[in-house]
Amino acid sequence: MFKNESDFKKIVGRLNIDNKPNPAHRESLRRKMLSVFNKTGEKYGPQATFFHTLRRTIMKSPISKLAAAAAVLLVTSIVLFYFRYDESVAMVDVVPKQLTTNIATGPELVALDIKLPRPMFVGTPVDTRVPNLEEPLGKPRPPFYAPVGTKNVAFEKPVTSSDEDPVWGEPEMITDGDKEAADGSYVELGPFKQHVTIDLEAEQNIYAIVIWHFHKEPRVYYNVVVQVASDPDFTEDVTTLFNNDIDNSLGLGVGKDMHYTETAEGKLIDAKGVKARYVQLHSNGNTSDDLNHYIEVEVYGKPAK
Amino acid sequence: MAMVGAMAKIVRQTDSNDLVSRARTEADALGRLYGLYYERIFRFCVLRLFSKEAAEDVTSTVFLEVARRIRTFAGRTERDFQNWLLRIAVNQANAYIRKTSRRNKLLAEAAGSMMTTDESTESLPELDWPRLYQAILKLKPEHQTIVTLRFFENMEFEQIGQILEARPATVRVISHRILKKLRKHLQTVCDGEA
Repeated sequence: MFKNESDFKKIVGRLNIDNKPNPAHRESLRRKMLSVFNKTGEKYGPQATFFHTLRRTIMKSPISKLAAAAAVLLVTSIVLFYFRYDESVAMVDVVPKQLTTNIATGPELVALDIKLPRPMFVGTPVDTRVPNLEEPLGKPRPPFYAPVGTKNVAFEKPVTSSDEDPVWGEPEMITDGDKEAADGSYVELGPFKQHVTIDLEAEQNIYAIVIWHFHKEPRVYYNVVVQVASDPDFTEDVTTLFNNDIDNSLGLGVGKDMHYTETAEGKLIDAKGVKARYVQLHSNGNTSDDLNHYIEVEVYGKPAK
Repeated sequence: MAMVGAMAKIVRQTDSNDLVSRARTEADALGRLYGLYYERIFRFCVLRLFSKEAAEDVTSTVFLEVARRIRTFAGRTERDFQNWLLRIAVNQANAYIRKTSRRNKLLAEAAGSMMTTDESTESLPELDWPRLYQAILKLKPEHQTIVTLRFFENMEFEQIGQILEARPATVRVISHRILKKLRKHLQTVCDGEA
């Protein structure tokens, strides 16, 4: 067989592959292509030419470039001003509301005892390259209330992964209770879309899910979707608890939740007591690389009644 | 002498970039780009699809797509054009392979053209293109693309990253893992014949 990359390249080099094109196809495709090009020109010509000319005019001199940049900055500042204003109102409004509705559900509620790992960096710098990014709270997360007896029902439960052969670590590390950001504490799944599924081994009423993807440095994971269901194939009673896939890259629907920066606190998702046995978490790379990481996932719940 | 060579290279580069820019509006320039890239795209399609007939179909789709979209193509250099063209080819080839019926047809075609091995020899059959193609086809379409670009087209991780819109380090990691998987698949293909 072959041992390494250069061995494989040698094998490929020795292959006898017939890849000579047929001149008749080449010529007929050329004619077809140019005919399509000319037709497209008739259809989109004026519009395309307008933008092309506009772009050329702008790029021609430094003065027009500066003027265009100034116009863009002005518009961006106006948009940012309104966006920030709305968001600051929303933050003040939403946080107490979440707590009050949570507390108001009954007198037997207690604050969850979520053990946090050692933080690896101070503060939460905002990564402005990521759209729809949540601003850091600037203080510890407020306590989350759940019914008495709620505990981490995912501890040491089986985990499967879409990546059969993780780059680093094993899926079991996701529920082993180790939340530290050290190299031996996380599983690294391949690039692009990946997901992990936790089998809680019985139906549970889930109140909260806390996720630590990777908190060694501030980074943002893309297309984070958290779903729960009653069957491992996610065909029955599927509930989406969190979705920040704003462009539906995963095909699970457009999400309205915000991107967030990873911290030692993890991301807490309010599951509102939903009944399910399986928890599935999706992601699609992050701001540092295209890989997907999980340090720990905790699912706070109680056996379903 | 070296300076003259460098100057000539810069002039050629500028000419090519100018050709890309003109191809947005001039059929003649687009025709010249077609002449420069037809064979490369056809070759890529043969590697991805095994069958010359399928490769002709996909090559046609690629260039007709280019004709439709070139007017709004945002790139400026020949390298930008090359990456864009290959990205279209990658997507079209993957879309073709994703249809199970077509995939099965390609597999059958590869199996049919395998060289018969001498049954008296106990060694593994020699690795030829149909066998290797069968093993490659067992990978995910995205991984098949990386094999083709890296090992058949001899591209650097950086350019593959640009085509697939992934970081070079990611392509490097994934390419290493694909090779491991491919080794396993090849073993299965060869064992299946033994």
